[in-house]
Amino acid sequence: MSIALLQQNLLNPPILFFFLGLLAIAMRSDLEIPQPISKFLSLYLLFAIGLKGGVELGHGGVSTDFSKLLFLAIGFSCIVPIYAFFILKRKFSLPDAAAIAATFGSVSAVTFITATSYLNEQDIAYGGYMVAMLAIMESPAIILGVMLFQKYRKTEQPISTSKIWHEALTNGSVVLVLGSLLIGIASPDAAVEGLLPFTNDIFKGFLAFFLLDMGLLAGRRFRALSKAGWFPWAFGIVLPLFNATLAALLGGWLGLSIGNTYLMAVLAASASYIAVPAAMRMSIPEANPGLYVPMALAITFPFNIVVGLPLYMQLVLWFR
Amino acid sequence: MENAKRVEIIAGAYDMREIIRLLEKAGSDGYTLIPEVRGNGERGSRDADGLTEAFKNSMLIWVCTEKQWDDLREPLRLFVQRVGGMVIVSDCTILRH
Repeated sequence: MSIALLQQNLLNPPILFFFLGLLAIAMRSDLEIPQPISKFLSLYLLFAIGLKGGVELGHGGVSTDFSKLLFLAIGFSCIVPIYAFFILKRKFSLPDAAAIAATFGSVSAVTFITATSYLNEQDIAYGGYMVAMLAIMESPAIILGVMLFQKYRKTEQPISTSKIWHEALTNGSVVLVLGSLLIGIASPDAAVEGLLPFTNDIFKGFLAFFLLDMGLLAGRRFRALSKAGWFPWAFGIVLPLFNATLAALLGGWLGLSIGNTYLMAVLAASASYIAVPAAMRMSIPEANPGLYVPMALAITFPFNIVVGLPLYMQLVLWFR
Repeated sequence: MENAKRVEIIAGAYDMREIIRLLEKAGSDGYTLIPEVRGNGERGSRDADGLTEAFKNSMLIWVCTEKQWDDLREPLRLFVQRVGGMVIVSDCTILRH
């Protein structure tokens, strides 16, 4: 991997603020971001990325990459939870295996947003419809995780599938991203222009602040994994690497653009710690959130934004 | 003054909807909900930290008759057995006004 790529990423202010959050926890600082502000920041980022993606889609339309990306998006979001489940079942209980599989089969909007920021720094173009891929990849893993749990458990107590579908398809992240995307597509340029200072000019600042919060959260969740052994750490790093490599390979083979292949690799390598925990608490309450949330938040997320972002770009370039 | 049962239920924030449904089925005409409580138990820490409610517990207080408690006991036990939580039942006296 090019050292320059790694260095550029590490010196990016949002990434440095993530480290600051980790450092604050290590120092036992009382630095804390009030929860309503955290929630606002996450909602803002989804709103902004959705709207920007919609505006770009409205200008540029869909390219030939679109149908291939859709195929990859649906493929990854359906296949990853399945093979992850069978690997995890060897080491964890059935509920935990299903919940972790759903976590890693779904995606992280924040990792995606950080990756788009990385692409903007590198001046690499990508399709506005990648935001739609983000929304599409959020939900299938949730349904599959619950179905796998249902299939392999021994008791007859049914889980309401309509509730799962409802939760998977109407969770806040999906509604906000898709809704903002559609609004961006439908709104005329003159109407959207007034929003640009809010969605573009201050975006990076809010991203930096949010990553500070993510650093604090990740730091607090490290401790939860101290008794879990080596396997969660290995899984949380190896699976994303494998998925990203596969996505980069397939993207190169299908002739997708560098930016789109890169974002697909990032999505395939990411894990959910917002939408999936909500769904799992409702549908598989036996699963331990003290395992699947820290794996996504304290292992995979830091790995992806510190090492993964430049590494996946290198993979994409190697497989051209 | 009337004798009654005080039922305190601590469970996941997500689970409260179903618990309230069970209460209503048992004939509840009211309850009090404390939306966020923190603690630690056999299913791990519930520190209400993070961007989801996966680590958040709530507490519900329900004052009921002996009959209502008898109707609720078993369905509640089965539900809490699955989702985790704690149910504390005590005798109390309430002042009607």
